[in-house]
Amino acid sequence: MTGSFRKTMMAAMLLLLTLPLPQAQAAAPRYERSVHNFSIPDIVLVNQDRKRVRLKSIIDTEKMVIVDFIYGTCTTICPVLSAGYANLQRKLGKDSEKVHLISITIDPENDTPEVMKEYLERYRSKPGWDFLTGSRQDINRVMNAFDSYFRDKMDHKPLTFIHSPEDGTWIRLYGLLSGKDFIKECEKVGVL
Amino acid sequence: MACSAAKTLSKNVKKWGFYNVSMSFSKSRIALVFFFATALCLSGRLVSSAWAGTDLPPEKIQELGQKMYRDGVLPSGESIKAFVSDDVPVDGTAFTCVSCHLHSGMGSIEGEVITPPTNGRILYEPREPFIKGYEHVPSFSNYAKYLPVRPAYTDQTLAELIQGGVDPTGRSVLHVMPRYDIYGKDMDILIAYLKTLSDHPSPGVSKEQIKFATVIVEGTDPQAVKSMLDPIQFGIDRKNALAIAAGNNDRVARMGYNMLGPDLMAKKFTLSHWILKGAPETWRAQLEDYYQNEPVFALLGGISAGDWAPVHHFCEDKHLPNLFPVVDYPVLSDTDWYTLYLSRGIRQEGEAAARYLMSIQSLLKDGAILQVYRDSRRGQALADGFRQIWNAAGNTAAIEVTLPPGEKLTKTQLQQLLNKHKPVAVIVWDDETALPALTEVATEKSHPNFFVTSATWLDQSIYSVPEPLRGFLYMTYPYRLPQEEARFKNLLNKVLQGKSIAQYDEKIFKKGYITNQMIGDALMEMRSEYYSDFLLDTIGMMEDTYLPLYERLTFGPGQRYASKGCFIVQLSEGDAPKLERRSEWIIK
Amino acid sequence: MDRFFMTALILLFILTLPACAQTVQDSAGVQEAAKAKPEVEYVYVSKGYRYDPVDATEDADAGLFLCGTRCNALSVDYLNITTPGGWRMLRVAKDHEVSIDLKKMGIKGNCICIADQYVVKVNDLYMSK
Repeated sequence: MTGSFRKTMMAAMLLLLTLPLPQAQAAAPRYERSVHNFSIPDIVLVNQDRKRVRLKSIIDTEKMVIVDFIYGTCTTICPVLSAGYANLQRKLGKDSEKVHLISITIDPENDTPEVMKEYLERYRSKPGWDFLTGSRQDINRVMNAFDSYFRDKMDHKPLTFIHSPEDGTWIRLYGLLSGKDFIKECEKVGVL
Repeated sequence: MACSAAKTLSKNVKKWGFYNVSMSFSKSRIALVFFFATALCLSGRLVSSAWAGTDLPPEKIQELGQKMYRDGVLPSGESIKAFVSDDVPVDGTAFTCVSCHLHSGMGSIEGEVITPPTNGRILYEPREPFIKGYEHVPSFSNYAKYLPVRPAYTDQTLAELIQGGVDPTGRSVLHVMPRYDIYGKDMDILIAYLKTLSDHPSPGVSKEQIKFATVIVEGTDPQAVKSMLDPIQFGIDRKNALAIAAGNNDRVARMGYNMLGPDLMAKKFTLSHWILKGAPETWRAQLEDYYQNEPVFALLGGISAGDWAPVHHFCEDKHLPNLFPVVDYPVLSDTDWYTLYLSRGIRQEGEAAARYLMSIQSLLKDGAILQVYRDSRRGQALADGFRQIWNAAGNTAAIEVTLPPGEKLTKTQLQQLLNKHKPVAVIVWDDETALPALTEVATEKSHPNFFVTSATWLDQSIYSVPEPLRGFLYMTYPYRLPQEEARFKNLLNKVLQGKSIAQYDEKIFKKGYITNQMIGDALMEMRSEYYSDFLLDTIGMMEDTYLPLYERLTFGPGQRYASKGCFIVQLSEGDAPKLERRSEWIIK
Repeated sequence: MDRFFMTALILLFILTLPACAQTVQDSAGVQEAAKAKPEVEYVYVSKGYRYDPVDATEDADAGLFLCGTRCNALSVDYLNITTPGGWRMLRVAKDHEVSIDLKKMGIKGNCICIADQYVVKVNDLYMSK
């Protein structure tokens, strides 16, 4: 009961806070932006093709890496985040090769490689977008590393993290970005 | 509870404080929002051309409207186009109405977002910060008071909402709600469909009571039946006792009112036993008779030592929820909706074995896998579970050998198979009679490093696996480990009420306990909206649950098998051995 | 006097009754103590792991994955302990290094699991039984 109440409260807040801004205030973003240094755990996850992926090695590359936390049967936030990924790939065109999109499941119980593959197909993903699963504890470690631990998948938040290959910092974006804002944030990193 | 809620509120307000500063509403801002929305409306883009409704017959509206609502497909067969987050174009097939508003249309709360109900009855009523008749029920008002007030929709304002995301107050709704390109007759069909959604309470619900039934296949072990029934009946009796007590005692009435609301508190529950006799082919007619004589809201539990498919399909056709029947061979489907199972049954152990061997594949070095299984329904289910997962991942198929009924696996037979195929891993799906052969092979100088069996089939013999085999024997165990399960005893004691668990089949008793718990929790969340789809939607949106028997039960919209895990265990060394985990609950 | 004596005798009898009962219980308990005394239960909550291959011929990624599997398997899900109520976990060691033997599986390198160790106790602070 208390859990539901908490969820209701938070939902209500978000509902109020994400009301659109009229033209006069359009400059104020609908999301929170901050810069962090995160220490990524040295763990191995599994992608949609059942390939084992050492997380550190796919993050520490010359590409810009973007990470979000979603799950296959999620109702509200994840479809918007994933539509944002798909839109980014489309808008970047050939430049999308410079960006590695990573979605990490927060429902490893249900998200098998088959479920994840079907999910990516639904969003017409292109190469360069990986959906990763793994042991629940390893995924908890990743969430903790990004200071984004959700005790339950139903409590998750709209978070996107952009890794700059230049200085290794992470930009944390909290909220649901428009397509324009998302590209603008990527451009700030300087790889595009 | 009120105190903790207040604390949570104050914590959240603090947490979100910066938004309140940067995005607080002023009068001028409200005026601007109003202007913005009015301008959009006047632009004409949003206004649909026809509001006369649709003259299609109701069945056609159901068919076409449901396709739009659930699949994101227009009557023309094209997918609906939409925009989300202002400018992100999306396919309606990825952003269906059902994905947020759910099957029942009663909405959801997930990931900090409230999705309000979208059924006609609620849309065409003004929204208040409370639910009429339930103003003082905390759980109801907690839900309602955080949704913005609005007048009742009309067909036109509803179309404007769907197309432009603007509600009748001129306020734009959350940006997770796509703005759909639906016009004209298509919009009429969708609106007509929404009007039929969750319109009348489901069968089995009246002002005074909610009727449930449980299906028992004749010939099932009486102890097993009692073990399934008693915890469910306990829940029914307790609920009815509360209804009576609330009528006699103000304090109890107040407590019941706060927890359940006046409606659910006063309702009595009934549980009928639907006994199915004879061959499974005849069950359908029996079920039809039972249902016709006494329509029920849901089937709770149920038990069969063999088939369940006829009951499953009956529930599917009648849109009748069935919560957690006690069956070893559930129907496996990615799309069926109305039966929730505790797990994928016996085959889940076979699937876990495949996943475990895949997780240690680097140690197997592409060597052969030998799968020996008893030629029985159980053996076949385990072998099939393994085969399907293993082969689907592109692995070379295992060498398979069946053991005919009554024929014991011998050391000679097993050794011959090892000599012939030189496997790196041997899976044996059989009972404890296979243990001597496995032990003798494991004492040989050269043998595979991995032997896999089912702990549930070996039953109590798992604790007498001899030392030479222990270090190499990996067992599938689809429950919480016994030493950790002991901590859940207190929960069961409340239902046992002084009786000994020994008079029951413990695992089945726990399954009944889970059903009792889940139906209670779901009804408390349902705000007295008794729709069968909403019952399943509500359970689908529940958080992970920790109850007796399974390490974890998890849900999600459309997920139909609550326990998805299985440990791989080994027996520890020493005279008082314990099961030790060698894998996590979920194996990747 | 007689009355006083009788009263004192009865009082003494009454007072000693519970004590005798307690002694009987205790003496029965002493014999069973070894058996009945609940074993102190230690559990781990793993925080990380590392794998050191023996030599360059070993597949370090595979070793790390297998080491992770075993280390994670060693860990309890604390919700399974705290959810039923009546139990609590007290941390007794932080960042404890547990060496996991993987030789029987055919892995030669060293697998070290880093975990906090907890003792699980009946929660006698807040909970009734």
